[in-house]
Amino acid sequence: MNQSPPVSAVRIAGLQQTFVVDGVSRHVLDGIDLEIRTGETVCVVGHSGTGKSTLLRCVAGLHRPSGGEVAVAGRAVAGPPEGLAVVFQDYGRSLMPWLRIRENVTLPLRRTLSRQDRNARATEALAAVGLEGVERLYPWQVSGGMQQRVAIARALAYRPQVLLMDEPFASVDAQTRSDLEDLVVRIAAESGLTLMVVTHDIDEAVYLGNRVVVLAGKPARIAADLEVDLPSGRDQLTTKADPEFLRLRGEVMSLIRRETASIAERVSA
Amino acid sequence: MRRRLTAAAVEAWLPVALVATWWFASASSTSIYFPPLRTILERFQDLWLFERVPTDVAFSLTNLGLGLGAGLVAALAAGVVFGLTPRIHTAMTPVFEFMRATPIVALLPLIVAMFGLGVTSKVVIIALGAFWPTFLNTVDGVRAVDPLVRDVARTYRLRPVTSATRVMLPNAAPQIMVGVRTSVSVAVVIMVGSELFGSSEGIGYFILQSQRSYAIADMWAGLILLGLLGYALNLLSAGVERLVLSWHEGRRTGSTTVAAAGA
Amino acid sequence: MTVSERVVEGRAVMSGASQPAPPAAARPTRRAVPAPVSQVAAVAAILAVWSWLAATDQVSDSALAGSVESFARLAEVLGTSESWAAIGQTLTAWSISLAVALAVAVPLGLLLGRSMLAYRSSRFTIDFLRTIPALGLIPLAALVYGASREAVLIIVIPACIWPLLLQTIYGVRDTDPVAIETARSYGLGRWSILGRVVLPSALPYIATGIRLSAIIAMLVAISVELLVLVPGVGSLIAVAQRNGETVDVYAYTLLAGFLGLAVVLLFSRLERRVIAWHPSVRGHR
Repeated sequence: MNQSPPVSAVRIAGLQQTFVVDGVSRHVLDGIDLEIRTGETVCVVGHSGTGKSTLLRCVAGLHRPSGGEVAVAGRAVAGPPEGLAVVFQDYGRSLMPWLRIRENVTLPLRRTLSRQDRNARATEALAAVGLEGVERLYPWQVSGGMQQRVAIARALAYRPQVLLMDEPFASVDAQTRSDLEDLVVRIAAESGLTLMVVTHDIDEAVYLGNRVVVLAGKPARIAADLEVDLPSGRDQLTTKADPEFLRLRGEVMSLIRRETASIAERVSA
Repeated sequence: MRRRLTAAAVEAWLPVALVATWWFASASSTSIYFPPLRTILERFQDLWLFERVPTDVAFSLTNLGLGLGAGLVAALAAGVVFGLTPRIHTAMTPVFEFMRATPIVALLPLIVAMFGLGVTSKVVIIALGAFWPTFLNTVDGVRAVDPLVRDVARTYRLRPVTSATRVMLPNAAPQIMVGVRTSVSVAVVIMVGSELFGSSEGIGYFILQSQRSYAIADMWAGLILLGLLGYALNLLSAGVERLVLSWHEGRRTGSTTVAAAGA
Repeated sequence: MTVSERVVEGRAVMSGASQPAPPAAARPTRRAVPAPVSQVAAVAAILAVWSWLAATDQVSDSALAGSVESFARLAEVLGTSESWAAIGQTLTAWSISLAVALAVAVPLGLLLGRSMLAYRSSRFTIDFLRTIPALGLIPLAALVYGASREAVLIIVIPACIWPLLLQTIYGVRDTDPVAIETARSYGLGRWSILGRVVLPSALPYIATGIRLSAIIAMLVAISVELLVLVPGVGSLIAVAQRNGETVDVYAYTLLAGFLGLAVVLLFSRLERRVIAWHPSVRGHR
């Protein structure tokens, strides 16, 4: 098969973002350059409020950047791009409470598929996230972890090339969280999806990613871009005890701490 | 069982007492204005079960149905459009305020001048009356849609129609239904008003005509029919509201959590 | 329409973990047109379309008067004592109705809101009576009272009692039980609790009820005047129409609209005052 020349799935160049709120301007992102290759899982990690989500929203076409460029699959982003799905943190609000779980999953497919095909896709996607027999329930009838699985299934059924996740597991309990992390690792490995995960949890970032991008400073810049050299068959117990995992985790943590300290210095000076 | 009987008795004693009072107080009434309830009910049976149903009742209800249908559909569509375009909505606010504050019945002469005395003018004015409450509530409801829900609709590139019917309108449904229920009662009032102004058919016209020809028991029978109709329509719109908002109620009470974590 | 159905504009803005996210309004650069400018423009546009429609032969002249003529005539009739007398008649009927509704509905609402037995006993009766279309009573009122103010009052008063009564009941039932218990534990009597705890707490609901009733009173009063030819703004419209004075019909209809608008604006302000002052809201703003 003749593949088209490999384009990076996501390309961010010189991204600037400034918001004006009540007349006060706030510079959030300052010259972000980032390339995500097809099939890669990149985790963006940083403190709450650094602008990780703003970065993600620029890629998703939900914010228009103040400067610089964002391209998804080689096309410049001007609005929500084709072939891109987002899983939001707040599953309670991102799923429609008036639609049954199946209808929630098929909602984005209404443009392209017949009802029969939509339903088949939904069943398949729900099975892929470990949910069966819940199609006819409403989202609010199942637990938070299951709701987030439904949100992931909705994204998978859409068959995107790029999947963005915005703090996807910040609102679930610890056990559910590690289950969902394993689910994402498995999906990333099986589907060949390009994934960009925004999280403030360093362990999670290192565990999920092929690369970890550290965002720090005010306005935020990329403080580090680290390759994660861990075996692909990851496991909560063994991977998180791997010396390489611990080394990376320590490195990211000290990077973030250093950035925070230097900001504190600058503020106090 | 016994408790239920007591509850029913508590609910029912006042209406029963009121009707009984009317019955006995009017039993030997010779006032032309207030004929015995017995006579009124007899006339009710003669008139409305079901001799005049195909004519006056059908006429009124057809106009009501058409007017209400047109008014509500227009209100929902326009409500979504204006709800999603805050700037245009802000610009139009004074116009809307004025229209909402204008007595719809006062527009009857204008509407009749434009559309004549026929069915059209009645349907138009009922639609106009039904439009405003639902429209204004739909605008508010759509404007209050959670930004995250909008983001979901945008990132998954839903078609505008899908987004309106599957996302925006259901999200605004609780508020919209408040408007719809007001619209229904306004529409009934306007329907009656339109039949009192240069009409030759309908329940309102029948009541007026009975009064003019001093068939007072007929007039009272018509009034009772109108009361029953108003109550029935209110029950109907309450039922529709419950149906439309069943998800809302279920979520609110949270009574049906089925499965636990880790399925 | 109750207080609780008011939609609160505040919303959570973004999905990121507790981030102080840029609100939706924070679109960079683009400057909004100030609201008053766009509103004047919108009104001007509507009037222009109206003029244009009247100028073309789409609708016959006997049905549609031009906007300029209509407003000019409105200014003209506002110089006559006849129309001020009519405005006075309408306002008198309106204020009597509102006063009676207040005097009946608020005490009754307090009673029905506090007593479960009274509430359940009257629930069906209230539900039935309030769904009777008010204008249906016009022939009866005209029969008994003729084309007089009493005929207007007998229809308007019940119509504006219902919203106020229902709002008062909701308001009373929404009183924080802890506040009542507290008052009781300090030895306050039945009447003190009603006057110092329940009534103030129900006030925002009552204010909303008063606004609704005031508007309904105006709308129904003008409607009855028009349909029964009771002297007032409503009958001016009807008489103009009978005489085939199309421009007058438009001028008086505009007058009716402005009267309604005045009531809406005045009572919305009053309501906002009461609600802003109310402690349950004050804390949140």
